[in-house]
Amino acid sequence: MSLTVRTFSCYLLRKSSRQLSSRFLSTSSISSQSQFSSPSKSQLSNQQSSLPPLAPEKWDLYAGVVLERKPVLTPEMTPLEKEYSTLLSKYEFELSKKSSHEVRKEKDSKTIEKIKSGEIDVDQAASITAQDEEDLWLAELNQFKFSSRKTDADKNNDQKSLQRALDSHLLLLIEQKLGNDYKWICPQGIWRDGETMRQTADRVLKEVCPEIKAKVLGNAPWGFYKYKYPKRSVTSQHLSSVGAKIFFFKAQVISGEIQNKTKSKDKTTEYKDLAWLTREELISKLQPEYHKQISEFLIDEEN
Amino acid sequence: MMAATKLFRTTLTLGNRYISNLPCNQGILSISHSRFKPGNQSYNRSYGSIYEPEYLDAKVVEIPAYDLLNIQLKGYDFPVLEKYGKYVHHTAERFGITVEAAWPHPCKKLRVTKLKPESTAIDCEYPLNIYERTVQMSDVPSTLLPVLINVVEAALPAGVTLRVHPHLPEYTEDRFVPDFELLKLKTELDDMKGDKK
Repeated sequence: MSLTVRTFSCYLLRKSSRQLSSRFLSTSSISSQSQFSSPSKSQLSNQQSSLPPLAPEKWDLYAGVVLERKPVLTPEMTPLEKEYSTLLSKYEFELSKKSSHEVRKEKDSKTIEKIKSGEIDVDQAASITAQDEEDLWLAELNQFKFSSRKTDADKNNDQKSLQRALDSHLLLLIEQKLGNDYKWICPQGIWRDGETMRQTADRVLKEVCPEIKAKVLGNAPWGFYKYKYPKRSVTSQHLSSVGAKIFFFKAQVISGEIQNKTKSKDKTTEYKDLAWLTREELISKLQPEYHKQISEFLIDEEN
Repeated sequence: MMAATKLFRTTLTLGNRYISNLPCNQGILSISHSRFKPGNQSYNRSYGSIYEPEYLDAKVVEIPAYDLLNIQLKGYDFPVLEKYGKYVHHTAERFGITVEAAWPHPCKKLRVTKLKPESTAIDCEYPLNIYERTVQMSDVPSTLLPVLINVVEAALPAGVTLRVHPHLPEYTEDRFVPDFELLKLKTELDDMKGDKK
């Protein structure tokens, strides 16, 4: 509360001092110290009655959706991690006790020796030895083919596919016309009267990518970005607004892929092109200030 | 962890700007216009009088909180699951959430049998164990839960499943060893009642 009191009183002081200083400059010369002295009540009321009231600035409110596909595969180990993990497994092996399979193997080798020496008949020995089973298992393992970590989408570098870069996050970006030129941004839509910001975010998702089943995390926005419209390219729709304030919502892709570009009813969600980008590619496509605000609530990747 | 703390601070600042200077553990549930009461150590600069008008109390925004939440972790690899359970507990505490309890469940032993084609003869058998851990938290603010889940999900290891749900008494039932004698007596009683009828 005190913060508002302080800022409001400062604002009043500054406002009144500005008005006073302008009057003083035109009439007589007074030292600069008087600029910061608090004016008397009568002076204030005189000043305020002559000037027009300050109109509140109008800002367009947008709900932006940061839609991410979470990594499907765990990231590969760094060389240090690989070395350390092999060391640990060796250490664990040395300290471990013998498994039942190893005990059986030793038993079998002893029975073989006994058969050779003639103590036991061949019939008494087990038909399948542990070594035979092990060979079968190894053969089965060699037959099995592990799928590669790099998919076709990786090879073709298809930025529209969700099968690319399975071990990292993929973020949806759309190319929209803002003002005069096309820019890469996260899908956003203007807030309409009568709906909550979260409902706006849901609407944006429905309009931009209806085939994707997404989960929006929480009802509160995760990030914020505001910018003023450049004076030259102000469109007729936004003549009254000073700029735009975007409230970001974080969402995760559960299933689905974007197939066709759908025509949205809302003009603010129309786009020219879309792409699913990794963290490094984001830096090159997004505006630096915008990227800074978004990366505040994105989970860092260790790379 | 840096990202997690960054996340946490931004959400707090979004919720109410005036609380951005307070440390994480204080004043999460009833975020109001921070009224610097006398005796508050760091913020003793008074811009108004100590006795502030009562209409400011009317604007207190209380963030609704969940009563009891269980984070259920299930996995096949025991050391990985244990380490992750420890991490989840530590992260929740770090966020300032009161962790009521963290307990293990008895493991479920599965036997997966592979049969030979077009016969009932067993080809091979694999024993699998599903281990389980639960971390119980109380009074989690509804604005903080998605942040916690997001952070904890990002660190989810391969082979572990994570579930967050409100607590129900059924979830603690398998922790207790059933009293077989008691059950036997009960069934005997039921049989006797049935005989009488």
